Amino acid sequence: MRLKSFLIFFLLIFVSSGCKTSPVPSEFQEAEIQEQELWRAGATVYENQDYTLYKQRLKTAQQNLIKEKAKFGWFRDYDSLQEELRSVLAAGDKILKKIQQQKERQSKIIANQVSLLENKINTLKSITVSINERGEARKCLARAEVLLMEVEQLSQKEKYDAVSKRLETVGLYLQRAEQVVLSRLERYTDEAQIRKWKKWVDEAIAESRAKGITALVVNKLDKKLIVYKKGLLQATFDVGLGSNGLSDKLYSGDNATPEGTYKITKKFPTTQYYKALLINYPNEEDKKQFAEAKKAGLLSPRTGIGGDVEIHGGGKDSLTKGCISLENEDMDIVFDLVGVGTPVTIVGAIETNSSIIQALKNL
Amino acid sequence: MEMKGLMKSLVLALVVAFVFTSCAKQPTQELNDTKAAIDAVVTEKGDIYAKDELKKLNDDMTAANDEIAAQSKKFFKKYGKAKEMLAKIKTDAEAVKGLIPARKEEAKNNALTAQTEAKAAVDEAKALLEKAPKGKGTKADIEAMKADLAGLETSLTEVQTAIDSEDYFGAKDKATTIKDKAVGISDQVKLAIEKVTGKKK
Repeated sequence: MRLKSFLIFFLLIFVSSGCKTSPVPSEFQEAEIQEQELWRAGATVYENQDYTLYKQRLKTAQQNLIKEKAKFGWFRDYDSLQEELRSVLAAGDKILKKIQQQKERQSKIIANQVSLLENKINTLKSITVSINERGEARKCLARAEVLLMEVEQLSQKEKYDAVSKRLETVGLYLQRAEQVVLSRLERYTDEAQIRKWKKWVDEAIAESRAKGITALVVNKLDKKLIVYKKGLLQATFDVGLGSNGLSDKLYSGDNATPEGTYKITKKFPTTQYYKALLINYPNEEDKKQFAEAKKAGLLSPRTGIGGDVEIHGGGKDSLTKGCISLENEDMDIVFDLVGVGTPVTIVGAIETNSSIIQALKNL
Repeated sequence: MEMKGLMKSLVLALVVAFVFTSCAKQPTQELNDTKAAIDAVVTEKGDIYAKDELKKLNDDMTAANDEIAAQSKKFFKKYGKAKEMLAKIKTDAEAVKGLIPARKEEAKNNALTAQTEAKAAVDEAKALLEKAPKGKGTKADIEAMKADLAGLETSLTEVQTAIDSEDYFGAKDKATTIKDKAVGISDQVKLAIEKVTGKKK
């Protein structure tokens, strides 16, 4: 009887403890979620070595769990496994933090690059506006802007791997735009050419002073018309040029503005473009250059030298075909200050470090 | 007789050992079939359209390979569990592959919509530029914007290239950017036209 009771008691204990299973540590599920998080965060890209190690440790823990589960309920002990998992979770947190730090760093680097490229685009855009470049450079800049906006979007989505190739392409577009701009401004960086232009201006001022007359000077790069009276600066006005205004006019239809020393030959109080002052383009030097270009076969025999180059109103932001345009109210002042015979000196630039050239050099 | 019995027992033991060790062959066929099913998901660009699912398939495959490796080291090999795992992965992979066309289609439609919108925005800007004053006296800004628009039109061809190469997300992003820029140009053209008409008055 006693033995029977003892056996029943033993059986009860056995059943109650044998069937009762200790719960699997919650860290297990946490670790599985963390592993997914790490992968989504780009652990394979940013911290592959640590992530591989982490996965190995997690796998070992999973295998240990299987082993532990296989044990009879009484002998299951999850304590050491729990400890192991906590350590894995801590390692995972560390990796996640490292990834975030790397991403922040990368994001900052990209933001800096974007900012630099944006500045470059803006500088080049303003130069293209100044020099009336409406062709390839602008196209390249527009494409660069599209790509740069994509870069910003990708950066926000943390798709940094797709960013570098785009930044590279942006760089190439900017390089091309810069080349186009530089080719248009090549003469403006030539010191001998600048000295020549400066000499023309100095001579015009000296003549104004010596003869006590009014003289006009047009600086094409700065887009300024300067009025001198008796050698003294009287007024400065903003002007507009043609689409090819920075080039020296050679033939009819080149949309370039001539460079040289001219005189006002006629004053028109009313024209299509408000008031106008006709200059004596082509002068002897222009004719000589034109003849040489034709002789060298640079121009077709049917090409004309052009003419009717004026200083007129209509607004400084007008695109002329070689003329120099002013705002109407400025034109009123200039018109009254000059007469037929007033010398007009048109130069590219008078200094090598004008704001545009400086901006280009700083790119 | 005793010797004969001993030989019989030895042969029997060898047969039993052979059955338990050699007959349990690795599930090579199942392994290849499952790998092929996962490869099919990758070919369908699962890394783009079913990224999470593909990761799970790869993880499960690693677990199945581990199981096979563990069994191969044992004297009494049992590949039943590995076979079950592989069969499940194969079924899962096929299901994931089945999900991709719809997701791809959705992404494609989104890209095409964005492309249409971008093209419409560029066309609108172009039409506005046509309305802008032309020839001598044309505002310099308008000419600059024409060049900018030409740049956008070139970028628009890149959207089609992205669509053709099934990079629908990239195509959509580019198209959206172009649309934004084109709308910006339209706004500027309107301003420039207003400036001109304002002056004429």
